[in-house]
Amino acid sequence: MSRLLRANIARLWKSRAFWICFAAAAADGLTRFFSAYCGSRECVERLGGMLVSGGTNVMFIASIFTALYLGTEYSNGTLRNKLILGHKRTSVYFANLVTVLAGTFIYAAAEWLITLAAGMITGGSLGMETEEFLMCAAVYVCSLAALCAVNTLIGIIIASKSCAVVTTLALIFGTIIISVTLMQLLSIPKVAEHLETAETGTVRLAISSEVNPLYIDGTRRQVYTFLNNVLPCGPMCWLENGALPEGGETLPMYSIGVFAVSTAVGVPVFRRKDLK
Amino acid sequence: MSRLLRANFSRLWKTTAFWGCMFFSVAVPMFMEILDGIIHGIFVEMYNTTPIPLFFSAVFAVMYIGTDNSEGTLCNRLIIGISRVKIYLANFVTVSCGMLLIFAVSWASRLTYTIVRGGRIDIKAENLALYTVVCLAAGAAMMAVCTLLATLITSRSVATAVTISLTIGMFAATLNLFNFAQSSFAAELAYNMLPTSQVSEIQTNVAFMDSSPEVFTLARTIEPLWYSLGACVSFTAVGALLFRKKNLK
Repeated sequence: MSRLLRANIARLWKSRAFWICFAAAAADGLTRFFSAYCGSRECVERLGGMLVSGGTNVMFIASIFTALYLGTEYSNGTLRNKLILGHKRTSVYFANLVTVLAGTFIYAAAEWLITLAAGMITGGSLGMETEEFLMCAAVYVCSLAALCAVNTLIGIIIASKSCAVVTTLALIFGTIIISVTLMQLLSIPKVAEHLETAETGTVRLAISSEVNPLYIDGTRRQVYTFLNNVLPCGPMCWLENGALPEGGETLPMYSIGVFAVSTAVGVPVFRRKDLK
Repeated sequence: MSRLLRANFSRLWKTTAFWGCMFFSVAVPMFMEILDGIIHGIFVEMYNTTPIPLFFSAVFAVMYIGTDNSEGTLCNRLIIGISRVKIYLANFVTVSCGMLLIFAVSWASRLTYTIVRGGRIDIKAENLALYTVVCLAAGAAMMAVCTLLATLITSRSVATAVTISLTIGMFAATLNLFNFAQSSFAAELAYNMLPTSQVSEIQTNVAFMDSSPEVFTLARTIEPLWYSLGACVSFTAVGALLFRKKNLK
């Protein structure tokens, strides 16, 4: 396994796709910071929120890298050579998973370092309680790890590099859209607010006594919440707002569950796969 | 040219990417509809999810043309003496027809679903035709961009990654350019030339239409049509010229 990892990491440093995606991640961090800074100079007072809210872009870049990196193993014959040399399929799978995790976290680190450096230069501060920031960071890291596991599963099973790219990117795009839709539906308030005019002529905000007919509750709410938490991009979409929702401390557990399930499914499927 | 088109179309019906993209351009809006649970009028139901068939059409186009490079079909065509410009235009026409079919099936499924679920008919025939033409023109401009990328980038996987990233980037750029377009001619031109901006304009009109059926401007819808056609012609001309000079090794 250690030899496989050494070989994978050596190939990683020489991979053009890795460095292009690295540049894209760094550029994304810089662009996001300056875009927010041009909008409002006070954004540097909330660097913590800015750091954890760029996760979906990192996921997108990591998906492209994973598909191209793992797809090259099939097209170059590297995978076949590893198996001919006697490496177990399980070891090959885990070595690839660790390599993909390393690459993804390098991208996340690049984006964070760039954003932090730019923020410190402009005199910024974290703007969050340490505990809250650590919790958000845990959700961020676990979501990325879950995505890596899913992308490794897809990249290892699909032999065609282009099909793997399409599948991973469509998965990211689709899960982001679904997560945003679910978040909008779950954010519908239980009671509607409306403006009413008092007899004195003043206008005030009043809360209706009737339940909002669009409010989702019961089993449907539980299903939507579970689905949003399980999707790789679901917790990241919550973090796009710069903070966790109520009960967000359980989000890392969902991501760890997705990681475990993806790996548990991927290993046996790869073991039985006909590599032709 | 007619032989090229015949060969391309016969390959089109056998392409898994075409049928897969058509399936997802129907399934994804349907899934979002089930999540939403609200039945709007036909206008909203048909045009609110236009970015989805546009995205999958781009994916199909790059996968279809990329196969030409990877399987050696392109080399064979050049060897038997077919000119590069004809090959390029035949590919563009084929993927545009594929895009048309993907949009048609997506809209037909939305229309059927809305009528079956009792959605209101809130659009006149001429407005329906106009919006359909604008969407298809934006789709043609997108196909021109995808044909250019897929033909010039030899590696199918890299072309796919670049095209999908560019498509998503275009959607993001549309949102950012809209604010600058009011104050800068260059930004306005860039905004209008993007195929995704036309689709975004339609979505904006849909949002107005849903809340107030009378708020609807024809003039605002016709103008983007010329930009889409201009973008289509420009990208096709540039792509054909670059392909003529490309070293195919």
